[in-house]
Amino acid sequence: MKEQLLALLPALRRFAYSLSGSVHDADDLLQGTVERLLSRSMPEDASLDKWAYTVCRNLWIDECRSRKVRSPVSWEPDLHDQVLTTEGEKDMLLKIEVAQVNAAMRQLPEDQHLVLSMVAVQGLSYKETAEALQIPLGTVMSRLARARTRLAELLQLGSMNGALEIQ
Amino acid sequence: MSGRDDITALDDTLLSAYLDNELEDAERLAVETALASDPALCQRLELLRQANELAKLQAQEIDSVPLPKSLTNLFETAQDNAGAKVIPFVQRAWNGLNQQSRNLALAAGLVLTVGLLVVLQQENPEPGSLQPTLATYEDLLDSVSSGSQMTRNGYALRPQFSFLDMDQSFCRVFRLETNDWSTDNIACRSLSGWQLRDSVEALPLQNPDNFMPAGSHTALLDELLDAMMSGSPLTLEQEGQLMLEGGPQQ
Repeated sequence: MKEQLLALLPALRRFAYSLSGSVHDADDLLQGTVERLLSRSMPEDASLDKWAYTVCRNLWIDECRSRKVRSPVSWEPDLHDQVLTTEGEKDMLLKIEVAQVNAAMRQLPEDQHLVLSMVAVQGLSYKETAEALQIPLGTVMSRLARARTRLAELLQLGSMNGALEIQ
Repeated sequence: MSGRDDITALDDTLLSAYLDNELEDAERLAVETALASDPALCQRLELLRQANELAKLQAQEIDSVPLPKSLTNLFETAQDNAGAKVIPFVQRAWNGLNQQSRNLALAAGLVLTVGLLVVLQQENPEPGSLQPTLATYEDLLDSVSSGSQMTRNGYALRPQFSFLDMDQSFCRVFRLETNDWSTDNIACRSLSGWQLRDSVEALPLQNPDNFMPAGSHTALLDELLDAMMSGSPLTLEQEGQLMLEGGPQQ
């Protein structure tokens, strides 16, 4: 199991980072997840990767609840002044700083943020997301669309691409 | 808006689902037909795609940051519950003692009267030597006071004392034992529940090959405690209050 978990760690860490927007919080979340996975039995019918994401997601939801109110949006990036430079996306990104994306993600309502992370980062289908969160598939679709729309608005992607604005 | 006042949230929902290839054939064809004749809709689709790509790229940024050592250490020390074959032990060098914590630990019963064995990542222990997982007794850490004992499923849990670590987390030092094995453990409570920080095995002297000089065991624990404790051990009253505040996690 340890070997499987080690192999899964980078993807799980990305998911944790997507949820938290902070390297420190992501690693805390990842650590809590790994500790749970190593110390507790996994349901017999579950695969390790799905179970790992479930544990991670539930821990994050608990963490959010424990914080009661999400901390105000901060523009203090963990990765100072780094820019996204992935080939093929340079024109799109126009040197949007990671910090800006993090901040924008944090401004998303928690339910939208979670669905976006599950679909875009974890790679779940709508059906899988709906089942995991026990919500209707239509709710997944609408939350996801609102998350993307809001993210584009917060990052002013429309103004970068011309005159198009987000409604 | 930019000439697309007719755009509705439903459009965005369809466009978003189109991006993910989650539409039925009829819906997909309808969207593609609309896109073919509506440049503004195409631009809108592109915005949603870009937002999605940014969300994915944002997550990948953490790849450039090395994993914290505490996390990698976890794999070396944590118990593999699924395999149930690895008992976590940590070998630590003697680095001097904090007299207070040592005395407290000794007074609390951490002095061994038998031979000790400290093994780093012992694989394939004897079947009878597997210790229970934290999940099976973590509730006892929120309910059994130091100096008391609780027996469950054939093993005994004996909290020795409690303290606050540098992060002000509630931590407990306790022994788990059966007739076959005995371990001294340190666990701390975090938002996600109890987490085992260390576990050192103390075996009876019945196996002379496993003998290790008495004192090594307490040295290992004391060194760790010195590094972890933010102050004196908690009184029973303080400990009881923290147990009440904690309660079961998740």
